[in-house]
Amino acid sequence: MRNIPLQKTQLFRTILILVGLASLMMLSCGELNFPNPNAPDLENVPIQTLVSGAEAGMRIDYAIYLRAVSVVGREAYYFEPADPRYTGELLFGRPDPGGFIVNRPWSARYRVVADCRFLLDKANNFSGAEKAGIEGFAKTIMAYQLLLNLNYLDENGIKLDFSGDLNAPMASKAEAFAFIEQNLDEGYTALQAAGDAFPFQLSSGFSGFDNPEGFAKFNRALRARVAIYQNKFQDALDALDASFIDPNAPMDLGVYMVYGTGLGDQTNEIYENPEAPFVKFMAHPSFETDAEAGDQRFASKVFKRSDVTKFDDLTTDLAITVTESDVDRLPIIRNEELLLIRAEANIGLGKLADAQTDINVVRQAAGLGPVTLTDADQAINQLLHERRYSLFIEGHRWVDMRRFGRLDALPIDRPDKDKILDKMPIPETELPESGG
Amino acid sequence: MGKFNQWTFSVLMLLFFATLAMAEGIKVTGRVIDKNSGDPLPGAEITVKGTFHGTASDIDGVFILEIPDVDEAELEITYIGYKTVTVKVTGNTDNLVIGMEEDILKTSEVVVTGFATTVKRQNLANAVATINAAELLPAPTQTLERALEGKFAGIRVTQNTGAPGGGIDVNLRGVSTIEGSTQPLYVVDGVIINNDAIQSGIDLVTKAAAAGSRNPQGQPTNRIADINPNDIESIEVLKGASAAAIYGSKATNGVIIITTKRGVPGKTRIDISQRFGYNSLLKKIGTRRFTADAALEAYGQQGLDIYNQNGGIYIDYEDEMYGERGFLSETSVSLRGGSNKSRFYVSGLARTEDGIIKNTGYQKYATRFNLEHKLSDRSEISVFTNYIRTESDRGVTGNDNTNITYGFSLAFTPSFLDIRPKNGEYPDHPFNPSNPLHTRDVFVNKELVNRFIISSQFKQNLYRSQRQTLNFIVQAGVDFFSQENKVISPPELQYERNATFPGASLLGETVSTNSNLYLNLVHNFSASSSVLLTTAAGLQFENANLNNSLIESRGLIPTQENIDQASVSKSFQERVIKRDRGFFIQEEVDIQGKIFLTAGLRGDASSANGDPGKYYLYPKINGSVRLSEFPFWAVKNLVPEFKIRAAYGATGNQPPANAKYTELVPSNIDGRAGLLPSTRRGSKDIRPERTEELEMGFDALFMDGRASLEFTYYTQNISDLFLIASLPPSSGFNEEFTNGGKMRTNGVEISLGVTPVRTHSLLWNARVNFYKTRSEITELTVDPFNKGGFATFLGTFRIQEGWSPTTIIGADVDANGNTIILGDATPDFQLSFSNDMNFNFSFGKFNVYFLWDWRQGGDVINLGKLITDLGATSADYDDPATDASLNLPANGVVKASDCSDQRLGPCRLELLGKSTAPYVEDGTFIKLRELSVSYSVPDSWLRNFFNGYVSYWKIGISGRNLLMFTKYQGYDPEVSQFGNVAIGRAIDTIPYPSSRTFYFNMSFGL
Repeated sequence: MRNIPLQKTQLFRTILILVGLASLMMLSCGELNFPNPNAPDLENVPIQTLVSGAEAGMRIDYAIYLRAVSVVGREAYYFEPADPRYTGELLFGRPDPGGFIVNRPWSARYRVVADCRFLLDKANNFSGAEKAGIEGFAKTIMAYQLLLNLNYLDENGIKLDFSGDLNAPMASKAEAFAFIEQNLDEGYTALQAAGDAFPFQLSSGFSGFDNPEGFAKFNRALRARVAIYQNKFQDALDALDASFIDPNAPMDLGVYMVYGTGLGDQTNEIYENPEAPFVKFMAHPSFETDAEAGDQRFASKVFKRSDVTKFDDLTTDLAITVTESDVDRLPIIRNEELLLIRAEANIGLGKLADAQTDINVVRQAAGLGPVTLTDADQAINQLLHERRYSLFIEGHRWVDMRRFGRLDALPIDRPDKDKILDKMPIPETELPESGG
Repeated sequence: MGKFNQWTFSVLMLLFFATLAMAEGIKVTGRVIDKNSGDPLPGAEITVKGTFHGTASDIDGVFILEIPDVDEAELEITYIGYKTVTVKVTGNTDNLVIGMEEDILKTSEVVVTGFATTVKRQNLANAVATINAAELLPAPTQTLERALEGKFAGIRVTQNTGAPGGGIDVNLRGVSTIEGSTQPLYVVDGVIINNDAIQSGIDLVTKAAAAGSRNPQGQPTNRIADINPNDIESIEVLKGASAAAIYGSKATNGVIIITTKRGVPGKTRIDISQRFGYNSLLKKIGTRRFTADAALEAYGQQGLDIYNQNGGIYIDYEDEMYGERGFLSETSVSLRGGSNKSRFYVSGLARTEDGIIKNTGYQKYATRFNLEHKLSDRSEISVFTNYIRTESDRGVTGNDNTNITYGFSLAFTPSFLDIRPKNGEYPDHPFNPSNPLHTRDVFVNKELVNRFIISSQFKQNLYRSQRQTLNFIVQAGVDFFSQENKVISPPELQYERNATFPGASLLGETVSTNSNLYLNLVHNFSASSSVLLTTAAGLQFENANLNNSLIESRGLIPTQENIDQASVSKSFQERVIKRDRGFFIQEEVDIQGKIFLTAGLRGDASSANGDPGKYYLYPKINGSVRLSEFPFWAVKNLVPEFKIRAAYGATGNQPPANAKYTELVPSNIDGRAGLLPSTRRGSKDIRPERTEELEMGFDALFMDGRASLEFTYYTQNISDLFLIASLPPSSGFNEEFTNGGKMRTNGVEISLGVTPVRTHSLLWNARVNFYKTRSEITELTVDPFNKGGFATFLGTFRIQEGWSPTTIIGADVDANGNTIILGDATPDFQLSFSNDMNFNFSFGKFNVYFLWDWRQGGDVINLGKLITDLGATSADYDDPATDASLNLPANGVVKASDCSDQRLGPCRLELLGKSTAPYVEDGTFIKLRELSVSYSVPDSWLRNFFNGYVSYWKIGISGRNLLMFTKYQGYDPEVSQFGNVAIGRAIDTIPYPSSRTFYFNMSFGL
């Protein structure tokens, strides 16, 4: 038997090929490093996309927030057969700190805050009026988003350390208010130096408020809300003076979140056809029993159904009609609220006559006759009544009753198990020892 | 891939011309027969040892082999299911008769252990499970993975849903990851197969991911389901890291190597089989019997009115919905033939299957062409091509936030309510947003896949001498598929009519291409007559490219389905690109066939890693000693074969392709595009998870080789676990991938095979497989966290140091406020028992086979029960509530007496938020997985009747999942709402119920 070696030249060629392939592999290492095929990097995105992103992001999970505060504030029920939490933990008064009701709106607000922080970083690439415009927008929106989270958690406070450090403490309610105020004020100052136009465009929700001058009025409106939450009545009046408050203007003049069905857009999840066989988001029956006869706010904001819906031992026949379609807008802040803020500030300062004027403007718009304010207690009662009907499903009722210490005046439907919640728990994800 | 193809081609060409044929040599003719029966064995492989040179026996067992350039040679004769025979021939030899012995206990079976090398089972240092065609498919199966259920120790196959088309989890040796991929690597004829589960987008209609969990819940099919099980010749399962190390960073979950059927030289053999059968509901969950008072209580005055109006009738909606007897048909044809130089296998399959729900079903059409051709005595080329078309109609089942899925809707449909169509009109459902019978009849959820899998292999002997051979092997392959998902929610449906834009049409298109190229060199060297060395080295290039797009249109024009026949649209796209480069080198030493040692190293770089240029190394080392071959083995007649083995190896699990990127996600407001930071922060230094495994065991034969015992213990240490470190949302991000934490998995696998009877008229084999695995988190670099599920109080899994990663917790706490463990989703053990009896009578052969699969323990979070409780329709709603019937933990603070309503359903609801235990159930089950009885007509009858045209004729009946014994109250304890996730399986939100299938089979050969 002979050995049959491969001829040397052939062996050489084979080795050459293998070496060639090996070097191809080495070279192809470069190929393993490529940019994300799906999305851009932060470094090279224009300002406009972040501004629109912030505006779009404000709507993320806002429906969950609005449902939750409306349910807890006994303005509404949310009958969700697929999820027992809306008629369970929210009404029981012990929401799960790990659950989506607590976590999702909270996270979504901070996502917009992050977007605003990126904008503030990027603003440093600009100068003069452009820089001021970006800063004015970012700080105002950031403050608004933080305020919503503070409304949710109240005495539990919010996080003001955005670094992602789990051990960073929660800022107290007072610190949070101070931070929000500071951002609104800095934003306001920046807006005044921002020239005639922003270096970006805003959605139709800011129609009339989409230049630095108009946006500054929106900023001041928010500032008034923040002031009134802290019983800083004179601050509120000062801020209102620079806002868009106008007794002669329509009640719905203001700034809105807008919805659409375009690519990547969001629809308004608050909307449901009030005449559908089953409606999930329904008004609390007390909204009818407490309503004044002829109040157009009642008539326009709910629809009395022919059938009574019973779910989880709760009953109502009132479907909510604050929106007309799933592309209808939702208010951020509007004239009607500003008038009531001014009334509240004036009550706080003992100027009942001034307060009465504004309250009656609001009442007149609702087709109701004037009232007379006689004393502080009666004035507060009247104010809360007007706020309840004027700002129905705008996220105020629970916050209002809480700051006036009247949560126990809210109705309890199932006395054996229900309780009024005073604040949302700190989301599990913000605490070092989560869960367990 | 273009570049690679060019290279492959050049290599092929060069090597082709490099081949030299020389004159002289020897010629051997002979016949291969079964030693016992004397029957010819067609298709036995006869090769010159250490080379590819060889031939195969024809239909009469006859072979002719010419061996050039030599005057003596050692021939190796292999035949599947028989012990390998080696004979030495000197000079021309005629009429060599080779008698082969059946290898019932598979000792000499050849097992693939790497890219290009094989080892005989008797030398193997790992417990590699192998299974051949007959063992794989005693009963027909819809998809391949189902056929693996209960077949061997160390594997757990669990279906996620009973929906047609699959959706099955295959777990090898327990939990090995928390966030990483969980499925084994599938390699079919050298190609890495895409086994992705691609979402249909149905979540956009059901809003299943809109509330408690944002994880996709479309319960998709994983694509291994496409493979035609009838084409499979054998499957090898490399269960752990020690066996799979050579596959490097893709192999942590094990590797399943599938070899398809090959041609047989000689007269072309045609096999035809036809099966008919039906599907039916395996188990009902039952519903509550209402009284008038109950109707009033649960559904108010309206409920009472309906109850009285319908006279309190009882409609069994499970019968209405799941009562179909789905017709099944499978036609399969294959041709095997060829010559000494070329061999082919051609097959065709048509399978149609109707589900137990109207308008659901599964269809598969597949064809395969395998060709092997010898270019010379030194080189061989093989091409495997496969085309598959599958279509599944899956209905709308599972979790839902819109109450349109069948299960959710039925939960809110009391039996006294009549929602059945009258005169073609579907009444509106008064208590639910949808009428499920209407939805079932018009809703479309269809998945269509067209797939090509093509691979080729080229083997070239570069050098050979008496003592050495050097072989070069190239494997290249492509797996391409396009998947179309169509979801139509017609505008006339009750829940659509009230939407702003009634009617939805979703169209998902996915195109996936996996390609790989392997270049291998194998050197065999007989260092002395008793020491054989095998050296292998190779390079691997693997690319995967997937492009998924989805268009959602709403406001559908009635009767129309196209996405442009609508008023508004949204679109989504995601691309996944992954490129991997690897190398390996391996050395095997065989000393006298008694001691066997292997050492190897694989290096892997991947675009998915934070540092794509870095090669991660995966070593392996193992050895086995056949003690029974040594002189000191005194019990040779009692224990003829005894081997001890130990193996160590490391593998990895690659990070998800997008883990390293911080993404900005698109948004739109008022027509202006915006970008928001994604909720996940990118991780620049993400690296693969690493599994190191030590496996030890022994294999023994007893009782004259009629009993075999395989015992294996393994321990896996998994480090660099991917964790989604939760970032406080105040950072703007919710999470980030990190490597941190360690896990340990231990397990025991015992396989006992016995042949109680081996006579001419009866061959009876029985097998018991026992498998137990435990995992434990040994280190966690992030805070303990909950994973999976919808919320803590709805049941979730706790990842905490010292705990099993599949530990179930809920709202339950003890008196000190500590969380109580409610269960563990990992079963305590698994045991399967199979019996295969072959009777040989003069009037024909009978085969009786059955396989029982027992899974002990393994808890399930049954939220289906919560849904029926909310609808007040649970079957046990009115039963008395006790601590036992509520399944309350003894140390919990919550007691049945806390309930104001002492009925089970209301009490469970009342405790919700304080106790999750009533919804956590034991998932123990025993299933009759497979049953088959067949009869083969005797050959003599066939010869007389068909003149020899028909080589065999077999008829029989078979069934799959015919029986299930379980106390679990849902449809099936095998369930996973979230699909093939590592943590977060075993959550039941009323999936498509499981079915039993029954077949009548007939097959014959021409």
